[in-house]
Amino acid sequence: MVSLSVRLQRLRYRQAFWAWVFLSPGLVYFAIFLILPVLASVYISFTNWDILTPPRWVGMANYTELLQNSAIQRAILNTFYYAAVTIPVTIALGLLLALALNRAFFGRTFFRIIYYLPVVISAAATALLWMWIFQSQVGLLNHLLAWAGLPKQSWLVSPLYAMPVIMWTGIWQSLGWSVVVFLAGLQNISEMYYEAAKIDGADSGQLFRYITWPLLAPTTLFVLVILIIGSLQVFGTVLIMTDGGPLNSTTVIVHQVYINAFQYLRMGYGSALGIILFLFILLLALTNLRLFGSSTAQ
Amino acid sequence: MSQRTSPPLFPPSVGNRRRRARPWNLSLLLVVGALTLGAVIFMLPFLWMVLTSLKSDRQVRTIPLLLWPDPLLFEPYVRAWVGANFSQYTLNSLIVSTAAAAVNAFLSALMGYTLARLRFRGREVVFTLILSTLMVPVQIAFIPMFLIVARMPLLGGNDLLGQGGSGLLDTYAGLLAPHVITAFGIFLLRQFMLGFPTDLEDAARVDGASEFMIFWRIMLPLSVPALITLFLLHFTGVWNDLLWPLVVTNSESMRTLPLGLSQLRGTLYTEWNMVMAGTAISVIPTIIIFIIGQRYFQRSIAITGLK
Repeated sequence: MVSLSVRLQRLRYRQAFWAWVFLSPGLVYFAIFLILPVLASVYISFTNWDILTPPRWVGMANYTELLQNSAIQRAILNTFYYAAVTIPVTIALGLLLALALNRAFFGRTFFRIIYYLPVVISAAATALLWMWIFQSQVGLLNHLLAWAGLPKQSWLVSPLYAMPVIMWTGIWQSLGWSVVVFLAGLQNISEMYYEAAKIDGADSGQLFRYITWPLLAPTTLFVLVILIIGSLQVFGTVLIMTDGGPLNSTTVIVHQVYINAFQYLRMGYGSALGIILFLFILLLALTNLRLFGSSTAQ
Repeated sequence: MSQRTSPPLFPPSVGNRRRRARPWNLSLLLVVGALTLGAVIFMLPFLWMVLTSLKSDRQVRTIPLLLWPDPLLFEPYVRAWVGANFSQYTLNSLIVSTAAAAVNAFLSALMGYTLARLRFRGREVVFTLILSTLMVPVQIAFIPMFLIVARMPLLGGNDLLGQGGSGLLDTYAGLLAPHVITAFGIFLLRQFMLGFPTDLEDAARVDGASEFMIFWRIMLPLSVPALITLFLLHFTGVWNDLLWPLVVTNSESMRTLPLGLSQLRGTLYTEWNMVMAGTAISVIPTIIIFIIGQRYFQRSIAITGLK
């Protein structure tokens, strides 16, 4: 006769045993393809390594060289320029569209799908679609400009316009996502607040300023942090549309990581830049959470 | 790349909470007008893609602009599909995305089940650890990941120490490597399974069912909606990925669609009708998946509570 407590104990051991059996493939995978690469990239960033010959320890040399290299400086500046323009525009337009779509009318679902479509296609396809519209000889936009009597522009070949075109492409691709997240946030705000405020005679501007905007703050913070992470990692559109040119006017951090590691085979140098990017992302995301997170904690 | 599943989050209540449509008034008319204008600008590249892909190269370059293809030509699609080998790229993309989505769904369910339903010491630690990997950006890991894939011991001509051959480079397994499990998937399935009543598995346990049987016979069938959601999200995420295929493949026959697209432009002369046909081939499947599976895309936000 086995007592109840012993049987319970056995059951508990059995569960713990199977739990670790079920978890082990996933945990081993994470260790090999996530944790090991992250640790390795820290190590590689302190070496000179072309894959063909063994890595050579060089200490901080990659980092000091990076910060003095003009192409890298340009890439860092461009990345922040890209983020500083695309993020506010995506948030403002996204909120505006969400407010419009939050009103009841026939055909809302249709608009929601239209605005979301660019989110589900690849950066490669996005890049080609807009390259064709901005093409300098026979692109649609230049046709329209000529038709309106305005001079044609050499959009992606011009150091002045190439970056704005890439930014526009990025906004087009992420706007639908921000609309949908803002819509979710708006629908979580109870109608009661608005009704109470209306009884007190608030106009629509006041409703937005004193109810919608503050109650939407957690959503806005979430959108902001995700957009920071995404825009600092911009790569696909740049690679295809301009390959960083003309004259490095559109090169960005991940583009430089890719070029240095896989075209010049400078693994250490590329890794060091990847780590600098990670630190930027971490710093910005944490700063935002610290600054706005405490005031919006629910 | 393991976090590449872009989270297309749809509000859970958007479709369900039907507010009564108000009668049309001037302000609503203005709003809908603006929305329509925006929608036209948003759809323009897709529309122009389709129109261009049905023209001849000469029609594409006429001045003044030729709006409608006349006559309709399907030749650009044939040239992209056969001539530019998009049939192979589509097949590669299908294989890798389907395999990644299926394996990810199964393993996420197994780990989600373990973390949601089984009681054992260290559960919270493991869960926190998995969630924290969501923060690691792809760009910091992809150089060593490439080296790990290239140095896989005993595979692709490598010896025990991973030297001598090319490992999993330029293979389907190599393309698949970073997409096998995602922390997001585990999180999604765990949240979903937390909601089940405990009676089910208790009854099964009394009847002597093994833990795997409980997972396989009870939890997995109940999780089908979440599994479809995760499958669709991960499928489109892998389908759209460019950076990893770019790094891990050499030969033309191993390219996926985004990579094929990125190489489609000529250095001197680009046949835009063919490029647009190739682009259409690559975007149409994800657009169809999204429109059909809309409610599953919506569900991910309802389950994870992300907003």
